[in-house]
Amino acid sequence: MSADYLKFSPEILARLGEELIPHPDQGLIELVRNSYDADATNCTIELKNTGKEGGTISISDDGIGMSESAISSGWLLIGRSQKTSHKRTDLGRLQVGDKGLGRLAALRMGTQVALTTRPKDEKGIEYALSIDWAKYDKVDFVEKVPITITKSKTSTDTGTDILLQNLRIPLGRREIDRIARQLVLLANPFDDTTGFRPCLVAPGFKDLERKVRERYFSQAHFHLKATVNDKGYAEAQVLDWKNKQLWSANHKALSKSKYKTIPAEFDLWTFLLLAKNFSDRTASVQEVKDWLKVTGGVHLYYRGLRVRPYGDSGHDWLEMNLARTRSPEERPATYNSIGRVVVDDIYGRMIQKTDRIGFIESETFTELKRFCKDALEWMASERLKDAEKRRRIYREQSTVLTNKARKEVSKLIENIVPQKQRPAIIDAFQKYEKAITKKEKSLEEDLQLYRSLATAGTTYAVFAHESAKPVTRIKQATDSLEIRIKHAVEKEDYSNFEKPIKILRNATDSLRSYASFPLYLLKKEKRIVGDIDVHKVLNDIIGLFEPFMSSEKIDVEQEYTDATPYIHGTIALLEAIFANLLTNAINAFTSPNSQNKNRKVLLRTEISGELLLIKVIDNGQGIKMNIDEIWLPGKTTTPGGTGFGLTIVKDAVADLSGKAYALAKGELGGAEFTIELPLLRH
Amino acid sequence: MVESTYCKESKISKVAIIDDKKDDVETEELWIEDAGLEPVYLEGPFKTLHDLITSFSKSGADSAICDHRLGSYYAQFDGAAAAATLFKNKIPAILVTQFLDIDRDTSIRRWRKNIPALFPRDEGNVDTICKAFMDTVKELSGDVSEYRRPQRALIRIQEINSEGGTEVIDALIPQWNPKKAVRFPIDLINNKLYEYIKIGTRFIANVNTGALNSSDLFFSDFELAPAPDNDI
Repeated sequence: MSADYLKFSPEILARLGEELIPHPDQGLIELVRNSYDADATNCTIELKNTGKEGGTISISDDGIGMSESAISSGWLLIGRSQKTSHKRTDLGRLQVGDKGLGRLAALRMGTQVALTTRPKDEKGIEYALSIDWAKYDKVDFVEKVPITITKSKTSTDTGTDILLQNLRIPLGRREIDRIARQLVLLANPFDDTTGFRPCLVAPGFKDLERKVRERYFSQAHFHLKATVNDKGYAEAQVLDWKNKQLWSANHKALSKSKYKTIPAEFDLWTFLLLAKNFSDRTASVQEVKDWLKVTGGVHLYYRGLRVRPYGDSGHDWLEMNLARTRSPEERPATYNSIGRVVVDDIYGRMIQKTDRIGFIESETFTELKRFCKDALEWMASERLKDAEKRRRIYREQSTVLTNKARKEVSKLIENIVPQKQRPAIIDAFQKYEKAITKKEKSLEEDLQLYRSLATAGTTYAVFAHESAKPVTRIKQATDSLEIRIKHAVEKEDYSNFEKPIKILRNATDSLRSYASFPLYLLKKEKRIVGDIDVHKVLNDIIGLFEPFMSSEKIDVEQEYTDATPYIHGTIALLEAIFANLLTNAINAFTSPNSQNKNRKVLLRTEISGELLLIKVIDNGQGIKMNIDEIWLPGKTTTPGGTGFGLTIVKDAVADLSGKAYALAKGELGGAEFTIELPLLRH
Repeated sequence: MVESTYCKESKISKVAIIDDKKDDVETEELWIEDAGLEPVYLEGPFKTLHDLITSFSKSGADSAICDHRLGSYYAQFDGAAAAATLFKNKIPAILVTQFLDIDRDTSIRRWRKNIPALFPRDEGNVDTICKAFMDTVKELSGDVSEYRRPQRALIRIQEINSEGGTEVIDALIPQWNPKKAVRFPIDLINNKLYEYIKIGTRFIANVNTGALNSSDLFFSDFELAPAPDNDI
């Protein structure tokens, strides 16, 4: 009998390090979070020659440093689940804690690591160690490589320096930008209460930092402030840009039940990004847009530090963009808002996932989300009521105001303009009025068309099933007729009935496929938010369009990526995009000027980084209009067309946090549309 | 008429039609006659399910086809309730509906456990109804198909919504499909558990996780799932 113990192969270092947390920025942020826990006020990351292999990264802070025992039982101990303590540090911080896996990933970015640290409680003393990862390749288990901690005297102030040497992979522009954005947003740039200021020594960081710290909050058109207390009761208010309260809500107005979550604060600043809405502001709409590009989204601050991915570009964790698809009016989106949810979580009820990307979706977390979403819903409802009220008043007053303005102009002309010039001025004014009236009429017509389309849609939705019934009955009666005739006549006499029965059947099949079209699109489950298999939706839509394509002799080709791309959204939005683009292609071939004999539509999907590209390419006549105008409502070259199809595509793509582009003459000589959508993270 | 193996095996001969719309009754009669069976229409109005059972017994029928949406001048209950009640009384009853996509998750799901066969009206024909009767007869004899066998399954609430005035739950059943939420009426859950109903709550219930389509899923016997261990 002999004693043995559990051992770890050196390969575990890669498994738990760079393979678990593959993005370098994530690992580096963990080192910065360690500095925060160590009560540092400054933490600097410096990148040297990182554009190629072999560069170095240094992380230096002015925190409380580590004693030898802290190094041994803390910094060198990987995997211990530190129960995030509710005790505060000297600077009043709640530690964010870590199992060390993020740290391990960062330390393994280079082939060597050097640590030097000067503890607060041992002034003038410095501890140091170095790790050469290559040594681990030569042993059978991790514990066989000793690490020596040296002690020496120093005159440098307390703090910790980590040097990652001989980087294994270069850091490109994109990674550096990502690190920069994460650092700037890490320590709640909305206010300076944490007193922690991480910075990056790299080109462009100062500019980025300045942009973020610019703070255009006071220019926001709406500021939602909501809180939930330790008993689960919430309240909310919305302020305007002058800090005047517009609306307020108690808990009952937000939710029927208590929120089973930790105390939290939710702030959201929403901007109406049109130049006319900034006429009385000190900042310009472009300045605010540029600022929101970097800072926009709702960020989650946990114990003072931001937690990814909440607020990352494309990560709409409160589903604001998708809520807009149900009711686009008066709702914020991630591109025009910036927000923060701040929680201290003294008792550690929310647990971060092992890879540090987000929290485990426990009841505490899902209830926190529900609180935020309820607050957003309430604000949207108040804004909508207000908008309706304004519209009503405007409608009532507009005629009166127009007449009053006309009288005032006439009076002015009479009083100020000399007799001789009056006819010319009156004539010019009348021409202007005519032009305005013409424009109003055109807008009225657009509105009528929009209302008619919407009515057609809503009416059809109500009667869709009833209208499909007669067609179904014809089909079923035809089937029955066939059975009964076959039963009643001899086999050779049945051939007299075959042709008319076949005609009946073909006609009803066509009618059924046309009738089933809207029913197919209107199915309610398609409007439920979820993870969507894009190829499946594409294939289903192609199947639906098959009768139209066949009858117009349009050949549809599919070139799909081998992967199975998923996006987060609704089937309804994807179908809105594909159906309208395919309709566009059909219109291109069926327009009076179309000459094509070999009609083709190519559907292609490609993965580009974290994006899915979907292309719809045809060999029609191309796009004749100004390419920028094709997305505008009412703009069409199709006789009888509504001009809303591509507007719907653009809006649906935006609601999925994507982008849409068009080429007037694409790969096949006709129109080419590209849709870019963020792929679902796994 | 059609020599349907299914109808022969199911050994039914006379089918009661429970439907309030004349046009639909005519179509159902076509299917039944073409299958070599005898249709008999049950005249309403029916105030209670008991009235329906009484009328059925007097008709001499040995099976039934029910339309789901029944006008209140004809019946004070819907076709799903009728089909399920007949089934519970050992009568092979099948359900047909024009509005499957609308009513599937609410008024039909409520009774789905006792409705082995259901089809949309536009798929109605001799083969469809005969197969439906055969599946129902088999289940009554204890031969439950793999698609209908209930298992204890974990259910996680994703959303609580309202649909057409009915409070509904959208839930994930990982054993069936971890990505696609399924909707069911809240009243399938025992009201003693209502205080636990919120997003994120996990229940355990009997679910036929072998079902191919979400419209075939049924739920019963809910209990609160024990809390997971958070120590990862």
